[in-house]
Amino acid sequence: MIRRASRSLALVLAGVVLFGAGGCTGSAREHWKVVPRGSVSDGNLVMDVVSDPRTFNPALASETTSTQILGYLFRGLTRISPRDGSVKPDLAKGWRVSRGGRRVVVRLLPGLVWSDGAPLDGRDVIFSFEKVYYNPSIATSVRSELLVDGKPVSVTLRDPLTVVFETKKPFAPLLESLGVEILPRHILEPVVNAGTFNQSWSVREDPAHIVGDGPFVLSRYVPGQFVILRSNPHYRAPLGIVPSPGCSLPCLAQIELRIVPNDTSSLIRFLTGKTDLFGVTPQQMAVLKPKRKQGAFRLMVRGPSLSESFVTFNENPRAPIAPWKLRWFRNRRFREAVAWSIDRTALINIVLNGMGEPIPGPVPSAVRAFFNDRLPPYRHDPDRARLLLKKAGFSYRGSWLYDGDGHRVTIILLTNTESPERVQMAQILQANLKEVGIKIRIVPLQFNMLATMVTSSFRWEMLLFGLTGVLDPHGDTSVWKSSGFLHLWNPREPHPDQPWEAEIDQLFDQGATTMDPVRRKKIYDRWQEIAHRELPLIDLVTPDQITAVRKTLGGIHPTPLGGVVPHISQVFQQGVLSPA
Amino acid sequence: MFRKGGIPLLVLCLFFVSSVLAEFLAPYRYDSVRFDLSYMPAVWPARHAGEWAVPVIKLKDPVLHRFETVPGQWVPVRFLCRGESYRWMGAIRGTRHLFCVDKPGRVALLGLDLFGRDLFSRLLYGIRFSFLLSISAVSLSFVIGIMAGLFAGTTGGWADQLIMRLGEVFMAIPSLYLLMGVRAIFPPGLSATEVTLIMTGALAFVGWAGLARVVRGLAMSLREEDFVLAARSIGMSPLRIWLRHILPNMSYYLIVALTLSIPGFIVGESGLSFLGLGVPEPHPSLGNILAESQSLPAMQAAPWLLLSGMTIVGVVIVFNLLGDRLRDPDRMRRIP
Repeated sequence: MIRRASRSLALVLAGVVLFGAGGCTGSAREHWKVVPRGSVSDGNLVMDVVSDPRTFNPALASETTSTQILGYLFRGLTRISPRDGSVKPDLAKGWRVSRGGRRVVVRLLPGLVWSDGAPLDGRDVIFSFEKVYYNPSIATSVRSELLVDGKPVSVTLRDPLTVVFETKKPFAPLLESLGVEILPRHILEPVVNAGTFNQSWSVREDPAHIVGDGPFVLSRYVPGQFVILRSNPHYRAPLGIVPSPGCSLPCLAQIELRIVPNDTSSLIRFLTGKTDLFGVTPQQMAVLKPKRKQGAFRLMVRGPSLSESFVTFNENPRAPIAPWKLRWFRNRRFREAVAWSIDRTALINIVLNGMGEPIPGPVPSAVRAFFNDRLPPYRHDPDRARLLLKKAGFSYRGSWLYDGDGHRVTIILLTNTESPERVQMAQILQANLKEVGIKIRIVPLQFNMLATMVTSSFRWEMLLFGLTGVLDPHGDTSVWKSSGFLHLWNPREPHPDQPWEAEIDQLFDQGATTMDPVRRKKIYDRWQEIAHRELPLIDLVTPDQITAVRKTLGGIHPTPLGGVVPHISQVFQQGVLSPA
Repeated sequence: MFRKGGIPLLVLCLFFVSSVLAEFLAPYRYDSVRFDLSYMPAVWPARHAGEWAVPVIKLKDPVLHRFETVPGQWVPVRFLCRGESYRWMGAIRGTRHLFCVDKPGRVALLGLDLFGRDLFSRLLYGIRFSFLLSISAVSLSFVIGIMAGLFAGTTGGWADQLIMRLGEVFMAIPSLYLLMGVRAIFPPGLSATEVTLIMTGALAFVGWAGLARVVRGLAMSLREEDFVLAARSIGMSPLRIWLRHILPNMSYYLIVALTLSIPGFIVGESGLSFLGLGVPEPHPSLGNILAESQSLPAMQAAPWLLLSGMTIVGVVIVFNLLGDRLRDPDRMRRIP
């Protein structure tokens, strides 16, 4: 009897544990109202980041947390307007382009000062380019962006506030590349001379030693917990950035970046009022949308993002895969059939929760300056796909597809495990391609393993992957030029393998050296047409960019290219949250 | 044994029969998708115009997963009907289902998952997969465990030492890590069959040591019994002694141990699948259905996916209750 009673008690307890867990999230407070705080200056902005910074050295940073933080601490000569992607002055006062685009004379703002009070002038610019970015012993990923035709740009000092950049050939994205961070010569020159630059300004460095020119300076970093930035008292705003009424730039006194383990904890922290800004994935919209009012936040949908996802096939003749498979993948009709069989509406509705757009070509529609709007997107049309496959020499036995030599069409699709969205997309593709008789086996792999297989061992057949889009198509060179290392379908070709690849190579060379925006647009339009016809990458969908913004924040404007914060120095806190 | 099993045994039999007949009982195949009905809540048949029918549902808001019924459109439910084709147990072709609903209707007794697949159907297939896999893994591990235990217990000496110390090494490592380690030896991207075989092997490989230890103990004590000595003195062969005297005397313990270790294997399988190391999608198992409901948005949009977790808990409890009932001291008597 006692045993029976204890058993039912155990069951009841199990029930309490199972069902009671659901109530836990409800216990933290989620109902808020905004109370004005009287002053707009001296605010504190709290955000979450999902990983620790790896370095505080702008020349060495490559992963997102470091680059995000360093974006608040350092500036370049130019900056990109988040509204339209045009180049605006930052440390520069202005510039003059001459000799058909081969010479750019940049004038610096007078009276610029580093955060430690030392003056900032043209010598810092020369130092940054010559001693750091063009120094072969420094492991910086920026260098490749600053090379024109593989050669460095010549940088000379005319007077303390004037720097002259000269290239052998005109280089259209030069002004944009001048946005690289300028580094303090008086601090880092001894470090470079001592040969220890690659280890300098690591995350163990004393924050006071990290001297910048951005609106904020590093105040404290506790690994695994937080990074705190304070306003830079010596900050001088770029031309065109005006202070919000009631405070001087930067308006905020402090930015607090909390390091959290993952996106879900970040979501919960935003819902419970602990953070002010939160980048929302489409899946999280269903959780956030009904709670806008009680959580005192706005959801800002800024239209399609720059990132794109695509599938691509291995067209590399050197690849160690079955020769008949290579023949399928190199067949343009086969790739087109695949493009027509993909249900992009399902991809958007299921994976992106209805918040996304199909993409027709390699330039995201957010980049209006270069987007070719005459390309028709591929719709979901399995009948057309089957017809194309038959034209390409394939035939059906039952519902499965066979090629001319009698091989059944089965393909291994690789994608990376880190992104659950991509694995879901792969499953939808699997169902879509089954409709046209193609059997797909999905193999999710870790990113590093995947990268090795795709870029060095070439042992892969079909890949579902994504790339972050760029503002200027020139940034896509490593993907589209046949010699590029990210030319995924056939990396690092000694010479263009197919006629259309040769044409794209030519177009990219022309695009880089043409200064006239109208002619450049025409050149890149032609590239998009070829990409759309030949389909080396079959573009899928792009998610909408969504940011959740607490209503206490001011200085917020959604922009298509730069988030909801046009310039971090203009952001201010106009209220505080109080329980409703 | 059947009378002693009582309700838990009945429930288990129900589970077992329904999982064996999964193809027939499930209205849809496990991989039958409806991309337009992602995360649709349960739709039950109701009486409409004198017959059983389901309303036609369409997506209203993909962001919040809101659905609406199309007014006036009902699709009748047919019983013992021809529907989606399947291969029963991967072998016999068939199209008969207990009930089906033609497109555009969709019957969903427990709701649909992200890809619009029927959770009820997937659970039936998933239970079968988890059951068959753990039963075969348990059998394999029992064969290994009993052999190792008997050999160690009856021979003694250095063989005993070797086997038992090896078993202790296995028992010292937490089983989930050991499982993951064994699974990691094999490359990713294997087919469902290969993964199933590997998982069976891995589970058996991890599970034999505990049993071997107890069997060895029992064998050592039975070895000293008078009836074993008698058998030995009349020249009976060791193998015959094992089969005739030692094993039958352990049978009750073994049956109980069997019922009590199956749930451990089910949890092991689900754990591996939950971590993505198990059978690949779209094949369902209790673990990978549960893995679908991992994220907060998924849990909010489709809480019914947690039913697979409840099923795991339910099955484990029923097995334990059964084991409890079978473990009865007065049945543990000696069989001379």
